[in-house]
Amino acid sequence: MNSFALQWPDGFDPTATDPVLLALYDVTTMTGVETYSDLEYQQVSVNIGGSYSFSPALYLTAQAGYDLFVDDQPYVYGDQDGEMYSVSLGIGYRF
Amino acid sequence: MQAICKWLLALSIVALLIPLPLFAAGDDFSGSVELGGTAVDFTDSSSRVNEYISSKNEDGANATGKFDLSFHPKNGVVAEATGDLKGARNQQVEGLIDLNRIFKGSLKYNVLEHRLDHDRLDYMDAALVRGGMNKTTHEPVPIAAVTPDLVPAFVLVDGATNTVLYGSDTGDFSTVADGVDDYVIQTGGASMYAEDLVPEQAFSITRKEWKADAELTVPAMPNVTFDVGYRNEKREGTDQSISMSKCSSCHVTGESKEINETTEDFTAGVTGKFGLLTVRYEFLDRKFDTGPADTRIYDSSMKPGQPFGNTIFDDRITYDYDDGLLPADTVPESEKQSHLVKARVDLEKDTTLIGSYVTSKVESNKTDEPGIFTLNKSKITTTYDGYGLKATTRFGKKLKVSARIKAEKIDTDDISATFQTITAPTSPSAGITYDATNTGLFTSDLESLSSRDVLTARLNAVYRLAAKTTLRLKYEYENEDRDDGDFSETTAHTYKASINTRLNRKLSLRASYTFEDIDNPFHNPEAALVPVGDNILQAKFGVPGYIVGGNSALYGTTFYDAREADLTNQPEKVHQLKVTSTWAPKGNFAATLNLRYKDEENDLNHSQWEQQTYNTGLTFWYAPTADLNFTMAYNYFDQRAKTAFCQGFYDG
Repeated sequence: MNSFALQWPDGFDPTATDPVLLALYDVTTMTGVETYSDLEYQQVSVNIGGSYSFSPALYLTAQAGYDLFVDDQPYVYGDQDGEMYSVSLGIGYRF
Repeated sequence: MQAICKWLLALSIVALLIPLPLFAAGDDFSGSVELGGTAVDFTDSSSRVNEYISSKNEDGANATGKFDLSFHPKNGVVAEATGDLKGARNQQVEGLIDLNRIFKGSLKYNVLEHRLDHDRLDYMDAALVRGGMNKTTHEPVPIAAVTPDLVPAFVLVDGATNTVLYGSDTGDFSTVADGVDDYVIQTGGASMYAEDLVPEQAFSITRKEWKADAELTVPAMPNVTFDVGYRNEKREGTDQSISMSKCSSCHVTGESKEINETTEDFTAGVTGKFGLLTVRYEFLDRKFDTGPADTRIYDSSMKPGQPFGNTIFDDRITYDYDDGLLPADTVPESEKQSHLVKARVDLEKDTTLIGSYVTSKVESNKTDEPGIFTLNKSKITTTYDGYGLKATTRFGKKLKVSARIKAEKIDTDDISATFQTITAPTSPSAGITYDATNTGLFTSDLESLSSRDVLTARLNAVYRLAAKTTLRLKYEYENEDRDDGDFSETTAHTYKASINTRLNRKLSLRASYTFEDIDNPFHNPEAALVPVGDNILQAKFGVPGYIVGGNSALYGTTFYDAREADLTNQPEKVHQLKVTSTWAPKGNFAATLNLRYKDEENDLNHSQWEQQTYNTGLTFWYAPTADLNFTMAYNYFDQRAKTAFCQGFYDG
């Protein structure tokens, strides 16, 4: 990889007495630094559920869910894109 | 006392474990029981879509169950139990019993698994190749011949044109320098290498908590209630553990660490009501235990650019490979006892006075490693004393005012740590990276940063502007005076104004604005930025240059002492605006809009930090029938932070 010292930044002043170290320590002359920590993600969560009563005591419940995570700028924790589908079914009794 | 309390707790638990039907008499027993199952299927990573485990952490199905049982006979006995069992990793169960208000007991249990982040450690590798250029002759090479993968340790700059002319692995440019205005710059020989040694490992912690509480009010003393409680919290699982070896290179490794922590709380208290006065005393005893410490073997310390196995840097390193397995990433065990006394007086016109005093003591165990570092004490004690006073009253029918003041004092033992290098320096300046003596011992007196005095004062006013409109004003003053003079004093003023109104029968609005003005926020003083100028030029091989080596202005203790810039991630000014509005044109439809904007900034002596946060939410609720309702929510979150600092490279 390149040494930082040999990557002349945009806007560098060639008349400076110290072209390397001034550039190293003056981060305002560096380009692209502000994008290093860009993070962007989208998250969607959809759930639908309901119940049906066969009688005042006996009932059925159902639920379905969908979750989506889109990592547009994977960084420290890697690509965390993922989807989850879930389905639940239950039978209940009231007394 | 503790024996009595344990009996009360045992009684509550036994009572709650009795099958509820045994109490049943006629229609007094009601509730519901539900059995079923949940199936989940994942695509790609499940770490974020299932961060808090909903039922399973992998594809498949498991049984689920719910119950809500209630027993209310006419003889004053009440027993209730609820449970939501979504699988082995997500459960909540709660039961309570009330025997004629003489005895109340409750028992709660919950389990939840939380997936943790896994740092891939794949973003910090860096190496500045030292040597590798004309290893035989060590002659300078014209800079045009330098390839990106073959970076010289030193470069020669033509001072007249400010251009880099030559590269070299030794820094000896005496054969090519013009001897007038050329100078040498050391680009370094450092390297950093990071490895994730368990890339497939999924880290997660399962938190399990048992909580039992019991209250006893003896009929002969109806104004006095005794209560006891017990809480057992376990955190079990694996977490990522990151450590670093040096000095051959900065070798960062990520491994897996077993987590096995237990927190046990025992509480006992009494509450007495005597006319207008209510008094409460509470005692807490907490014990925090951890499992065995994780261990690590570190790399051998070697000086870069020297033969493999060299021990040149052993005079500046306290441990390396030869020390074998060493404890790493440890969490100290601790014990805590606290006492709370609280009194409340209820007067006329909604006037109340509340006073409180809390005192606590925490003892934390510390373990040293003789031969590497020793501590002057094996236990650190922290004491806390807090005094609070709150008064609330009403002026007329429209204005309600409350004032609160709190004074706290935290005092933690100072500790002295003595570090020992592998070998003693052969001379006072040999390989020096800190102020070690010839014995290789260096003692550091550490003043606890937690020791401080905190004063908080708050004034709240609520004024009814109209029948359905309320204005709230708040001012808070907080002063933290730290014993450690380097971090000194932080003073914060917070102003908040909010309005809550119902514009008509269908539309309501809440809005608030908060401004925080923080003087000297918590920061790391003189943490970065060594000024580099021509005044620290020093010659190497007869050519002036910025030489990173020895105990020079760019190395050793002098380098660190020269840092000027304060660093912090805490703001000095905070503006926050919140707006929430709900529109409900019909009884079965409602739409709610949330807006939040937060602007934070600080202006330190060498840098400025800014952060803006935007948060918008829109929620719709619609119930076409009594048995069917839909909810749809959209949330947008945007946060942008800017800081004018990055990690500079450094040799060593």
